[in-house]
Amino acid sequence: MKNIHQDILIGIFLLALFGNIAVFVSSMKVSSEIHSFEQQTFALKQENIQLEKEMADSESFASTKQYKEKWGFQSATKPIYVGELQYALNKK
Amino acid sequence: MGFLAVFALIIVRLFFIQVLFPGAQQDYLSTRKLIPQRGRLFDRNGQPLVMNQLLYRLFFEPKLITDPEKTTYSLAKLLDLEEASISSKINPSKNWVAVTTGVTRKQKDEITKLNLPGMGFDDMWNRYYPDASLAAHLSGFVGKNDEGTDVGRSGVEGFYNKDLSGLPGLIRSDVDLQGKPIFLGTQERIDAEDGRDLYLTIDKSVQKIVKDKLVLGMQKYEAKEGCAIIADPNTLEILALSCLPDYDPTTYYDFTTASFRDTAISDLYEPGSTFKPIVMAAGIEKGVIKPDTKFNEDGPVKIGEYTIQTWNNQYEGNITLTRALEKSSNVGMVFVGSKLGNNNLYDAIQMFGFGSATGIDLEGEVPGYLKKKGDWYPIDYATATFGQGIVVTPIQMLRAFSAVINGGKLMRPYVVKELHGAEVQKVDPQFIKRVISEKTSDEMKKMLLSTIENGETKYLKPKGYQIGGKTGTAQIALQGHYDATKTIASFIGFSPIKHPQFIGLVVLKEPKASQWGSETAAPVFFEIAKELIVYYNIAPEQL
Repeated sequence: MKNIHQDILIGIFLLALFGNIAVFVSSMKVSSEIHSFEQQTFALKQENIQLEKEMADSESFASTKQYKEKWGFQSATKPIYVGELQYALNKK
Repeated sequence: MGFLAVFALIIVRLFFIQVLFPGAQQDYLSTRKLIPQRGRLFDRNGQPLVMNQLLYRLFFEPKLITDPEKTTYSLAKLLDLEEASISSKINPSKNWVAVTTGVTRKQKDEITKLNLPGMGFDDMWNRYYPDASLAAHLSGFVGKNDEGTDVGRSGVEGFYNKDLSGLPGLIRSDVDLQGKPIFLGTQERIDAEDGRDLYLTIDKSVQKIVKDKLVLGMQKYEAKEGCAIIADPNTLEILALSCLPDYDPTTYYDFTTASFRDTAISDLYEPGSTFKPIVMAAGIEKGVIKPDTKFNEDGPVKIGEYTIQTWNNQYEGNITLTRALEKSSNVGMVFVGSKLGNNNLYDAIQMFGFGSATGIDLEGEVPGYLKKKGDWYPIDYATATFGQGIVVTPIQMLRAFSAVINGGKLMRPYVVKELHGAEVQKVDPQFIKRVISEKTSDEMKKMLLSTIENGETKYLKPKGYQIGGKTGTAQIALQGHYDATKTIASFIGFSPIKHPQFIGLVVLKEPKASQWGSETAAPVFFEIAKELIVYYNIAPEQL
């Protein structure tokens, strides 16, 4: 009778011990995943900011000026109707 | 037995950790501040003006560097730095040394690939300006305070620093030896709240037009300083504001403090003849004069020991006040002042907002200066009618003139129209008070149109378009007297006449090519106006 109680106690203890180890290992795994997700989120945020910057760059006047020089535009296109009212009023 | 011994050992160890040396657990508790992202600035059409970028600070842990020569050579090549300046940082007696800042992500990735021991990177958030100094005075810049944290200085960055800064967050977490969080330990997290994005009233295209024309004008007329403001006269939304010389907000530390002054709001100047329409409007509103009131311009006027004459010392005899404005007659304005009376003149100047800040949402505005009524001499009242002996800021001048042409409403000028955070906060135009009636305003618009049609600047106006405005040339007071060779040339104008869409003020300080506003500031204004007419698709009003 005494042996049965001792075996049950040891069994419960071992069960609790392995259960604890299992929880600990899975929590380590979850922690590791959280850490990895946080790093990925931060990397994505960085990527986003970098893309935002590149977008702003491509829309900037500085970049337009570069394209202008690259493609050989010499001067701004003058709208003909300032000072040429007949065009503005459709009266040739 | 052995099992019990191991168990007892664990209990003893736990007793040591939890009871005898509880402080040791602090080693596992990591507290980290979460830095919020500073709010960005956009123009009224959502075009970016100021963004954020992540750069890195490269640091050494010299004690861990195993191959100093390879480290020095590789970094010098990748970062374009002198080898000597890098090798001098590898001092084995130190634990940590900053090497350089401003390292880009690409450079960081290349350095990381080298897998060299003893170096690391710190994140550094920086402001990024896609168009460099296009709107330097408007945006301001981000500097550091005494504690080394980012703080907005001048312009929008300074005025809206709290909104832009956001709120830092905090993360407290138990971590393992590798720095990874322990899921079952302490886990507290308060997320950072990013700063609010600001959408300005500025139109980036108009800003570009204004700055380019101002730069050209300053070169052409050899002016010492220049300032141009374009606004919607009905709401006083500032569409463009450029004052030169300015600075590059990215490398603000290479410029003197004087460069940061936005002269549009921080500098006082004598407005000269651009002030005449204000006094004329006050006279018409009081009912003491009309646009067709005649007076005899028969020569200089004596005020005590002083003599006031017209700018060219020529006199046309019996003329109307509309003609007096067209030819910018100082003598005519003294006549208007005498009709208005000293008290009414002073009250009108105050009513149009001179001597008090406009409340524009930019850091660094000064209220201007208006002498107390008791300190005015008769000559002060006389010269004030033609804008001498009185000082204003360009933004005050623009606000007062807008009230003259927008139906008489004095408005608060502003540059931020929306704040985007968790919710969108819109900023509405702010009406302060009515200063003249709509009828007076209509009469003034006709007089100002006539001033351009028949004044000295009529050749500058694009044919068919109606533009109203007034030139100004004020001598600069130096050590108690005026220096005739040094002037502040200005022009203030608007278009179209019926429903003005834009108002613009151009001020040039000490132009050398000509001292006159009509020959310097006015051409700059008309160059800007021609572009704006096209940009806003304004139809001609006459043939």
